[in-house]
Amino acid sequence: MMDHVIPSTEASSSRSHNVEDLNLSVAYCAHCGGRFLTPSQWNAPPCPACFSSRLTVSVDPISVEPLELALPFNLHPAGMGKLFSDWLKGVWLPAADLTAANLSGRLAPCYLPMRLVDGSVSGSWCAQIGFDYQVASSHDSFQNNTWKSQQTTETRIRWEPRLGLIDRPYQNLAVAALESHQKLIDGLGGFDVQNAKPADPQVINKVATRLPDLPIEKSWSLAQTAFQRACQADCLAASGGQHIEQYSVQASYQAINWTLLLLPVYASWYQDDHGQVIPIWVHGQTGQIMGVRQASQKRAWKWTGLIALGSLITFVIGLLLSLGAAISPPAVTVGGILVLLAVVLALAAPVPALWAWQFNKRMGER
Amino acid sequence: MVTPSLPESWQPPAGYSEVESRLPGIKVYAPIPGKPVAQGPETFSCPRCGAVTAYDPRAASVTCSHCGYVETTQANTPGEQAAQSEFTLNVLEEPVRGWGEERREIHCQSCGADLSISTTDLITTCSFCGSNQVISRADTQGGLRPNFLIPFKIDPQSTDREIRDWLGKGWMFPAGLINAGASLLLRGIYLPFWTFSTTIASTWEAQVGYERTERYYDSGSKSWQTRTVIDWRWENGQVSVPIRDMLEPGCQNVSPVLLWKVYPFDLSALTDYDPSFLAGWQAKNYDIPLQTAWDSAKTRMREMAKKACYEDIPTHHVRSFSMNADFDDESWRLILVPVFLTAYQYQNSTYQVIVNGQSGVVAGQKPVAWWKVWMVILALLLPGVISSLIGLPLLALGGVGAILVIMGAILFVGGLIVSGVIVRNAIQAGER
Repeated sequence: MMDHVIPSTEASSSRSHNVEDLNLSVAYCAHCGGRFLTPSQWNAPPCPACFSSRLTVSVDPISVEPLELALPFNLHPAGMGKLFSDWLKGVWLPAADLTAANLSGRLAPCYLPMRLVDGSVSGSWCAQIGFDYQVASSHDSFQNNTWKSQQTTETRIRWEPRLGLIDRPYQNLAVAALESHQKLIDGLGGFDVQNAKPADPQVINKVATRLPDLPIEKSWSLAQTAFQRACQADCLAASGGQHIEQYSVQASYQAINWTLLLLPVYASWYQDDHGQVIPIWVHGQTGQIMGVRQASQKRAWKWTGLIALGSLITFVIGLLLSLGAAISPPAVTVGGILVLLAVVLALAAPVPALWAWQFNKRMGER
Repeated sequence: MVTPSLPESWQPPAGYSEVESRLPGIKVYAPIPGKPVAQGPETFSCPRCGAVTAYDPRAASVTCSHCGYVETTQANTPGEQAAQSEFTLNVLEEPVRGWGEERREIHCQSCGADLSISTTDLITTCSFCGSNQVISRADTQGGLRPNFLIPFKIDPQSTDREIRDWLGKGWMFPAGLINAGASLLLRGIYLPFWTFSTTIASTWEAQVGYERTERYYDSGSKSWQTRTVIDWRWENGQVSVPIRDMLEPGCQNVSPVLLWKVYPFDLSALTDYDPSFLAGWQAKNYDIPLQTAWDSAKTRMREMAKKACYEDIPTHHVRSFSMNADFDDESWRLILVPVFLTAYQYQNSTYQVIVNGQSGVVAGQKPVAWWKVWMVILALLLPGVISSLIGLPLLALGGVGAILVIMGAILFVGGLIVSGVIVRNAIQAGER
């Protein structure tokens, strides 16, 4: 569990910032539908979520949750060139626009929202608890008419039913505020929420902040899952077992309190062969990169064509030399070698196109 | 941390009780163990007349011999499906101990056997050696409690007759044995046995020889001959040997040779252990611990696996044989099996007799009258010797002598073979 260390809700609430107090405006992207808080002085910045459109300032009044906690940006964009270089090492024929310089030059800091929920759970629970135990076994071997015995120990699990009552408070359980939250966490890795600090207006005024697209009502069902997961871990610990399955809890929830936490990321982008914008995300604390690296199928076809042409030319020269054997017999040898080389080149010609196709397919599957 | 305010209306289901919770704010309930560890001793007396009751194999119930009251013994008979225990490292640390009823222990100062008897049993003779040098003391109730038992099926009265028949049987034993058995004091006793089950995953490797006939030129006879040669090649294989309920004695006071002679016990009659089965009967606690018995059983099991590996080899030409045996899913039970034991004295020696309390098979130790054996052997060899002795002087007369000598030789060899069988049987019969 990651609770108990983050400043309590009450403390952060007192330092929370309302949008009206800051020089921010709500803007939205007409292409992807993402809503952002951007500094009012920014003039139609590109959407940090899709980079396919520019943000439009919303004129309708929109209710925005107070910005309470934020994680700091631990990485500076200047040092990210090497990160991108390493990330692009596995791509043989990258798209022309996919370079470390382009990606680091286009980096834009951005905050992604996540909710923390506090509350207390009261109810009954039941589960199958698994207890580890050790059994003695043996491995015997027969060699040179003699038996040798080696004692071994194996760990097995004994499952037993347990049930009971629970009445415990929980603090700062992480709950998604974006539909794409899980996908982002899977790609970027977790955030060290223990280092969350009250949101700094100086920082918020310089970056785009993504607004939740999951209303609190929708987040509540996710919060219940988070509460149940925390209860499950506690019931396992209370039972003294090592494994748990078939866990269920009938509970009521009291004193629910929500806190908005801002996660630091950098956004960047590149264009593929067809000019389509591919967004890239970088974890603002660990530097882990998330995004699709595409090989350029156009460049791959070019290489395939060049090798095929080289093969054809080599073949023709080899053939001509072989025919010229009547004039100079040693020419047959050179001609034969060239024909063989042409065959090898012909076999190698489809490799770039196939590799690029296969690489892009693999990336697409991810 | 808030003070837990758990719902007061909630009740755990029947059969559950609260156990220790390692976190505040959480209550944990677990099923109540089926058999409480500290079960109080039970006494068996007739609710009608107050007399002592005992388990009666004919009625398969606890009965009162005084007023005829019958109380049906209620216990499950899971048979071979009876639950088995694993070889957990703490198996000896938290066992279910004791017999579950109040009992006395007698100690034989002659053979050292410890025997658990009913508090009302007035016993002065050791069932193992027949000695009357026994002392009574409180049952220490140490060790594991048996999980299952096979109840007595045989009536002690019919057993008494069968033992006397058995004593009188056989020409190579002293004629006075039947008289020695006249004063036999037959005691029904539950003996402890361990049962072991496992699956042995075996892998073997060996040089296997295949016979092949080849032609060769014999320079001596200057002709082509045929001969059999063996082609050796390395081979390997895997054999899985499942072993179910291998029995291993749990006490050393009864000769293993005798025990094997009254096998088998039908494990389909295995019944949940209940103290009422022991009412009025003796029981022996195990003195061969689990680990010792398991080591002994394992020695036999791996030989079975070795035999199975040899059977997996397609020819009988095998050399450089090696194998591995991995024991999987090892499990054990401690059970009680019913036997009738008695011992008799003959010429200052003690002989044990044992009867399978389930099948009625009788086995025992009997002294061999070796003079009878030698007389029979003499009678077997004598015709051959006499025939040869008569034939030898008659050889000078021609054919008749030769026939007698040959006939004598045949009779002598035949007599020798039969004598060998008799001596072997006599040695086996006298084994203790």
